[in-house]
Amino acid sequence: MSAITTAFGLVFQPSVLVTILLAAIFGLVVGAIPGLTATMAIALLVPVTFFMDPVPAVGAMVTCSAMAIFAGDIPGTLLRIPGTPASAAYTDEAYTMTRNGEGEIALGANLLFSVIGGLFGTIVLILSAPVLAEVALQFSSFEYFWLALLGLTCAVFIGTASPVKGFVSLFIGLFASTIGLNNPAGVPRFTFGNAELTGGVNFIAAMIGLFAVSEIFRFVISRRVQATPQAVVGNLFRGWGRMIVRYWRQQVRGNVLGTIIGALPGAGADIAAWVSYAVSKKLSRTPEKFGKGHVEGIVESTSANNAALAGAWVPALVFGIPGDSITAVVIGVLYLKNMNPGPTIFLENPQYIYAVFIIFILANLVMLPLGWAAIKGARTILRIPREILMPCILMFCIVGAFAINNSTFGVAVMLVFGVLGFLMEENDIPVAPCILGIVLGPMVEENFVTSMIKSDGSFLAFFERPIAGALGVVTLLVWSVPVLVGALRSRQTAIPREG
Amino acid sequence: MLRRNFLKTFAVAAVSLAAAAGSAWAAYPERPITIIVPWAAGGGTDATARIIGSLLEKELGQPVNVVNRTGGSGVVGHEAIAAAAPDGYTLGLATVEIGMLHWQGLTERSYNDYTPIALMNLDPAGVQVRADAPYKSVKDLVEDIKKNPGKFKASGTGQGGIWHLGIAGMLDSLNIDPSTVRWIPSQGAAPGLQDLVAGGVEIVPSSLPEARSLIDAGRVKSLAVMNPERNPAFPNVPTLEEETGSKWAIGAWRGIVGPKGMPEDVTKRLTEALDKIYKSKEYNEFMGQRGFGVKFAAGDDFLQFWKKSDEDLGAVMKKVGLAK
Amino acid sequence: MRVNDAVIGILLLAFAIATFAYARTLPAIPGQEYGAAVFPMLIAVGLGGCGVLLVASGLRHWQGAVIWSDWARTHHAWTKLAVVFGLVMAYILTAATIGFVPVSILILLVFLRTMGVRWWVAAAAAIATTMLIQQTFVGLLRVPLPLGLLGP
Repeated sequence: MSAITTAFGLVFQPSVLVTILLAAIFGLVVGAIPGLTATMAIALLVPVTFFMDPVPAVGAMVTCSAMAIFAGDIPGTLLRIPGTPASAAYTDEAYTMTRNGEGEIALGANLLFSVIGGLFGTIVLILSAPVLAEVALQFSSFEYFWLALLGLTCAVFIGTASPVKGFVSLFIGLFASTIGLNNPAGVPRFTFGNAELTGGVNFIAAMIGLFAVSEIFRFVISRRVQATPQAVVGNLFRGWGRMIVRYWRQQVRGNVLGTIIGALPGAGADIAAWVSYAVSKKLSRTPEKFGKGHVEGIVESTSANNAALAGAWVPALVFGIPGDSITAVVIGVLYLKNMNPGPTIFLENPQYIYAVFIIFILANLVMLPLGWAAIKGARTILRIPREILMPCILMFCIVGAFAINNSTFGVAVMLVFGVLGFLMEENDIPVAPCILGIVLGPMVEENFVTSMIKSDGSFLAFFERPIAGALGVVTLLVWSVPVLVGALRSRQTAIPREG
Repeated sequence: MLRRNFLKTFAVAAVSLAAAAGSAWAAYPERPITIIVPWAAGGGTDATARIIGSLLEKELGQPVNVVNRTGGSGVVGHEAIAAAAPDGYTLGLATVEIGMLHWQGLTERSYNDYTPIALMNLDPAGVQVRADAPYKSVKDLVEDIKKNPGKFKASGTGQGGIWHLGIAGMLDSLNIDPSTVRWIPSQGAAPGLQDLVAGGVEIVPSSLPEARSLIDAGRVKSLAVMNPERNPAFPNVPTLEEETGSKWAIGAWRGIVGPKGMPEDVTKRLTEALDKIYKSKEYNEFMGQRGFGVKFAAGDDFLQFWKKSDEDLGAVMKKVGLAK
Repeated sequence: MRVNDAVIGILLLAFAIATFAYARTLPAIPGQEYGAAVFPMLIAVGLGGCGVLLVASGLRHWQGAVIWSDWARTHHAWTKLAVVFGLVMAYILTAATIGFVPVSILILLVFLRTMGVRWWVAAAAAIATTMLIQQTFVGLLRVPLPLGLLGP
């Protein structure tokens, strides 16, 4: 008990609270700018934390990352430019809501369920970190291979009217992911001797291109300027109570899934959001509404990405194994501050761990007022005439794509994918599966090839380990059931047409 | 503190003086400096660059921006360093891979394309196994490898990466065919170690600091370190030579470099600053906390070290068939 | 601008064949069956399969190779698309030598004028946005935007 009291004493100091507040604002700014990820925000904080005490140093990172993940939703919803990759899964849905004049509902949902998801993840972290980390540590390449395949399956569920076109998009993304040196064999592929290409296609640059730049292309060819959706200010909280009641299932599911995916090393908030969105659509009673401005999927996936953030701390704190790229940076800072991660951290420095937990809760609570202010501020952007707004956005996209790797190569990738995205959408090929392909491609390939090397080419090995076997069976079921049902249906519809 | 202030005042004075005198003899540095890191944020190289960056900023009185140019096993970042203007405003934290990539035909850059400024860190390879593995020493492990060729799998970096060479070179030095231990490529030490604990592989020859949290957690044990001396942060881990008599030593190094052809006064200024940083309390505390090994060599010493590392790595890579 | 599915299908098929042929040249991991080639080849097979399906469905609904949408019949639209594309290209090619600030102001000015924004509004927006980006990215986020002519 005394450790908890000490922890409260450590956190509730003016200097710590001010640090947290500043970090929150910083996270908001970085998260809202496309191309700048939560990971970058954290990396930028590292030199600052060198000269801080342990609690404010870790507190700044926790708050900053939570805010950045939420803030990525704002430009995604208002302008179809996901601020961070974690928002990409439901960007289209949220943007459609904005165009339907329901932007404030979408943003309100983003804020509310980001907070709830974050708090849920924190509670799991507090109560069951050691147990959950133990499970996460049992994942080898066989398990990850099945997980990645399940992730790819999401592309089909997210997909549109034509499944073939969904697959086309997915394969384009998978192809893009093979470019470069980053493959298990360490062989340059499709690089044609270009040094920049050995680095491969950065998926953030591709994402900015596919979503934002293609939208700019579409804007310039639209004959009449679209009426700006005017949102009524102060309406942000509209329907919060109703949404919580109505979508409690989705929300719990998103929370649980997000925390688990976050806790698995190598999969973070972005994958959690994709998977949750797909699950939401798959299990929804009204899947036909998805993609047309329906808040249900947003609720689930926005809960998931913030829950994943806390989940990622599970293996990081217990074993010093990063759950995502953010905690990879954080672990370094923990060492620096003599808070060496490991099972003993809970015994040796309980006051610090409790302080971290308190900060997690604080960070999610401070998100409410700050997020509200940010949304209110950001909405004024919508009042700027589109013909002025769009050129400025293009400039932000260019600089954002540059900033990923500080090279104009990122801008070139953005442009290529901008043109590609424009052409794809003109022809009803959805862009979302393409991004999923770029994200998951390396994970599928690496885990497949390394598993095959380990098992001497035996496919049976994918089912030999208990967790892998279970995941494999689930994957095969998820695949075969819709195919069978689809085949039956298409036969029923095909017969009359031919006859 | 006093000295730092003095330096700052001096720097400000120097800059304003230079401004007054026109740009004819502007004192380096007069604008922000960029340090390119060829690896992603969150890794050891990134952390090292950021501590050096923040200390260099204090030392030189100009902002030092650490930027990540990732991808292609380090090709992209090392290429960017070599291709930058040699004016001292773009530096890089080169890593051991620059001595390996050209042997594999992945780049043409080698030590000839850089201005070596200061070696800052060296982390020798270790031999890590699961904590519940039946081996008491690296000798037991080697015996088992000899008896059961093909049984063992190792991981911890990509195909042909530094730790891959570490184990291959170790086996070779013990007269065992390096291909008897299969290499499982991974994205780095952390995923490799996770696979070790999950039972996917048996050996991870990464550096000790990379395995530290799992060693502390009692999941992994380190049997030996491939270095002439023990690591002060892990005094109980013997060296490979103590255990087996093999003199094989290998490690990942990091050093501040610039593009080829930097002005002498600039490298001199930087070497002074880096020497001071290397001796500073902050740097040593930081590296000590992370368990990173420190090693310093400036200018020509660094170049000799670099050349030797390059040649040694090349020899091993040829032996195990990784060089082109 | 709707291209018939069959045309897309043929393009995909050609691309898939090229990818497959290229992937076959990739070396395997020494001593392993599965190497760098496996995954690109699988993708090529997948893409090719999609291509075949698209050709089949496209031929069933053939209405000409391309159906031109309203916008595609106007010169304005094509000019504007070219302008946006050209501006991003211009940034890629010139930013390093000329520097972020002048290039950004120019790009914004051209784009805003193309969209029919009045001169003084365009100039004000271009300068304000450039300054905002310069301040946040260089000042706050420490992104080294190219200095170009403003540098030494």
